[in-house]
Order: sequence, then structure tokens, then C-alpha cells
Amino acid sequence: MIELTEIKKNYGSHLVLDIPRYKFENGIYWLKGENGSGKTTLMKLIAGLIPFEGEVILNKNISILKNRIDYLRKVNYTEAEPLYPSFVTGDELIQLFIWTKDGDFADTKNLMQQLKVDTYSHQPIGTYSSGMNKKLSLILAFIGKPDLILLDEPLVTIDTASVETVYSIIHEFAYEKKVSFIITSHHDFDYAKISFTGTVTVQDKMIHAV
Amino acid sequence: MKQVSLIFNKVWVLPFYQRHFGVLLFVFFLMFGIVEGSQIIGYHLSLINATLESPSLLLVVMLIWSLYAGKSVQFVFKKISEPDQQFLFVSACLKKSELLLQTSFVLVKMYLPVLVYSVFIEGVAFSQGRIGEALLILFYHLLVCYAGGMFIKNAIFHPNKKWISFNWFPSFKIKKSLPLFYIFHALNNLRNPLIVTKTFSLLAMMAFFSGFQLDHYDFRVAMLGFMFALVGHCVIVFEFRKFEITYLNFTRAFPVSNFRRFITLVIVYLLLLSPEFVVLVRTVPEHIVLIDFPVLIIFGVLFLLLLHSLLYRSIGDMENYMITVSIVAAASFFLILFSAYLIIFIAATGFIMFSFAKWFHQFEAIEEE
Repeated sequence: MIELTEIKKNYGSHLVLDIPRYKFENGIYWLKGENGSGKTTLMKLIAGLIPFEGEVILNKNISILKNRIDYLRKVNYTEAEPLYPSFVTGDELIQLFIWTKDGDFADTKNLMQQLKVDTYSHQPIGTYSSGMNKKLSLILAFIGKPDLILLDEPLVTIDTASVETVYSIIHEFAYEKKVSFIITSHHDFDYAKISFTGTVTVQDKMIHAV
Repeated sequence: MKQVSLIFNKVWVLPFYQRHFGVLLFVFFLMFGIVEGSQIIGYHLSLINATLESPSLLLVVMLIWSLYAGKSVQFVFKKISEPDQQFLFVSACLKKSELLLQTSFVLVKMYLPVLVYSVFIEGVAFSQGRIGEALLILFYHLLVCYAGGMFIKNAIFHPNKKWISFNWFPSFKIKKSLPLFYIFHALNNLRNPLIVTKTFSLLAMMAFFSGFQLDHYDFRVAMLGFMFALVGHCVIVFEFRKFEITYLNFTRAFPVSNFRRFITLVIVYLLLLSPEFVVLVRTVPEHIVLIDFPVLIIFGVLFLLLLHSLLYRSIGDMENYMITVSIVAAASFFLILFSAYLIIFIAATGFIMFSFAKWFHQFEAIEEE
């Protein structure tokens, strides 16, 4: 469960988000919104990547401001268009995430095999296509022991077979490991394979339940 | 022809000076700002005389000029490859000799600060009857401008070919951890700045150690020489910070303490300065007493970390950054003169820790756009 309180986010003088209070219970949420509505800003804000006014509390007592390290250990995020150093290999990046997020190598290896990332992860990232890069970023989002995973446009640029695999990984994490998800996507989901706890939109600088 | 010259000025020469204004200002300050007004002429006459009298020093000076010329040509190469300058390939329709004249003239304009100073060197050389040295310098400059013009002309004819690159750099295949990401970024993407920095840094240290032959041990000489070498690294530090913002932004969401982030950067800068440490070790015990060596290591790492942490607050343009570097260098200079090393260490460590705590998570790249 994640609770946002008195959130204000400005870019310069432009107010992008103004959320007095909003609570996501445990579950899988589809975060919708028009281009520029503030979805990615909201995701980055919850992920601890950008500064903001207000407070975000995970599981009732883990504050992003006061317990930053504990909070970041339990919240994972992948960007819509991830950017990594071109000379680093996928294996090296995965190793770094396992080390800092206290991840399990065997579990990660299993995810890599499912998404077929292990076939190219020894190569430098500069040689990857956008789909290969995206799949690597998805692996990184599942590393560690998160309570909440934020996925920004997870289905963009990946092939149909990988989309199916992503559905099954989300399902496994949500129902077996009790991990919550907030997912943004402009594409429709296959409801037979993923069932959402709720759909919310970012509109007029606020979050609205649909 | 005049129109071509005007266009080249607008797309290459002016942007070159705009882009490097801060660096040029800094060099100007080093050359003319650190000596009292009444002593400037005497100071530069001594410099010029030393250069003309010592073939090895003249060689070093020519090497520095060559680096500057190489940087100018590289700037044009980079500009030529930009999509908005594709139209310049139409200038390949000019006669080759006319185009060579224009491109050589482009280099002359970029190389002007060196040429202006060389006029004084030539004047001194001729007045002292050093005709050989004067002709050597003149021939050298003609060669540089001609070669630079040729490189630019060829780049216009063959836009996709790399005419200057440092691909002889070895490629390493070792497992990279986070500190090594920075070092590999430097080796892969900052080769030219790294070569210029390391050349300047090592020359600065060697010049200090060979120039100050004191009859008693004075640790301040080593500290000052090393500080000049460190100032030379400011561009690499700036590029490291840009690299962090662009490619390592994901590390901001790592669940690690500020102390661990600090240690990561300590390792980065220890690795970056390892060639300097090797040179410094070789000066023991002639110029440095072994017991003072750790002080140099700590000073080197803290100095670069301080520059790095200053960029946590805001990463503006290079000009503002160079002004800040000048202030830090000037403050360090005077503190070293007074042997106030403890003050340097406490102030630098305190500021670095403050920056991590106050600005690291508050930084937002979009504000800078």
C-alpha cells in the first residue's frame, strides 16, 4: 500500500501535480492519462528519482523522506525509454542491481531465461535494439525484494512472445510474491492474462479513480 | 569566396569561441592574471627566453599548441557531422585549392590566441638574433595551419571518414563495477579530453618539480604542482557529472547511503588520478617525503570530489563552472601557501558531505534545460 500526501510537483513555475491525498491499496493498477498529464512524473516521484513537495509512505510506515534507503529497497521502477551506458554489458548492469537491491542471482537468471535476455546479456548495451534494451530494463525492475514495482510503458517495443512472458511474470509476482504494481500503458491489456485491481487517471494535476 | 568565409565563421569559428570562452578565459587568467601588472612584461620575457633557450621546453610548448590545434580541428569535425550542417558539403564544389585556402584560414582564426602570443615570441627571437628558433616556430605554425586546413577540407569531401581518432587506445574486457563505469566512460567517450588532461597534468607536475630546485624540503611545492594538475581535471569532472545525469540516473533510486555513494566516487577519483600518483611516487624522496604522500592522495581525491559535489547543486554551463573552479583553485592556492592542509581537508569534506545530504536527491536535470 502506498499513500501520497500533499504532493506538489513543479517544473520551474509550471505545476504538474497537485495531489492532496491518494492511497493505492495493494494490487495491480493501470495508470492512464494523456501525453503530458504527469504519469511519468508521478512514477518517477514515487520511485524517488525526482524531488517534490509532500510525503510518500509505503506500507503505512516507510517514508520516502525519513526512511529513504528502506523505501528504495522496496520500490522498483523501470523507465519507458531506459538509457544505460553503451559500453556496459547487460550482465554487468544486472550484477550491479543484484548487489545493490539485495537480489537473488538464481531468480534473476530465471527471469533472464524467460525473456531470453540471457542470449545477449554478455554483449555491450550499445549493440542492443530498443526491444532488447526494454527487456533488460524489465529484468532490472524485478530484481530484489520489492513490495511495489512501477512499470512505465512496459509493453512498448517488445515482441509479442515477450509481451506474453511479461504478463506471466507480473502475474507471478502479484499473486505469489504479493507485489503491487502501478503500470502505465497507452496500449490495451489482455484482460484474460492480467486483471487489474483498479484503473486510475492523472488528469488536472490530480489522480482520479476510474 | 567571401560568402564561404562568412559562413565558415558563423558555423565554426564563432561557436568555437563561444563554446571555449570559459577555458580560454581561464588560460588567459593563468598567463596574465597571476602576476602583478608591473611584472607582466618581465615575467613573459623570462618565459619566452626559457622557451627559446631550451629545446625540450620549446618541444613541450609546441606539443601544447598542437593539442590546441587538434582540439580546434576536432571541433570542426564534430560540427560537420551535425545534421544542421549537412548543407556545408556543397562547399566541396569549390576548387580544391580555394577550399583549402578557406579551411586553412578557418584554423588560423581558431588558432589566433596562439598566433598572437607567437608574434611576441618571434619578436623576441629576432631581436636576440635567434633566427633558427624564429624560423622553426614560423614553419611550425604554417605547417599546423596547412595540415589543419587539409584535415577540414578532407572532412568536407569525405564526411563519414574519421580523420583524427585515438582508436589505438586499448579496449579492456574486464567486469565493470559502478566506479569503473566512469573510468570506461572516460576511456570510451572522453578520449581526447582525457589525453589533453593527462598531458597537461603530467607536464604541470614535471614542470613544478624540475622548476623548483630548492635547497631545503618544502612540501608546498609538491602540493602546488599537484593542485595545477588537479585543476586540469575539471573538464573530466564536469563530463563525469553529465554522464551521471544522463546515463546513471537510475542509481539515484538505489537503496544505498550517501556514504556509500561518497565511497564510490572516492574510488572513481583514486582510479582517475592513479597516473599522477605513480609520477608522484617516483619523486620520493627527492621532492616528497614518504610520510607526506598520503596527504597528496587525500588532497587529490577531495579536490576533485569537491568540484564534483559542486555540480550536485546545479550543472549550468561550462563557463560558470570554470569560474567556480578558479575560485576553488585560488582558495586552495592560498591555503597551501599557508600550509593550512587541515583546514582544506575539513572544509572540503564538510562541503562534500553537505552537498550529498542537501542537493543529491534535490537535483533535477530538467531544471537546467
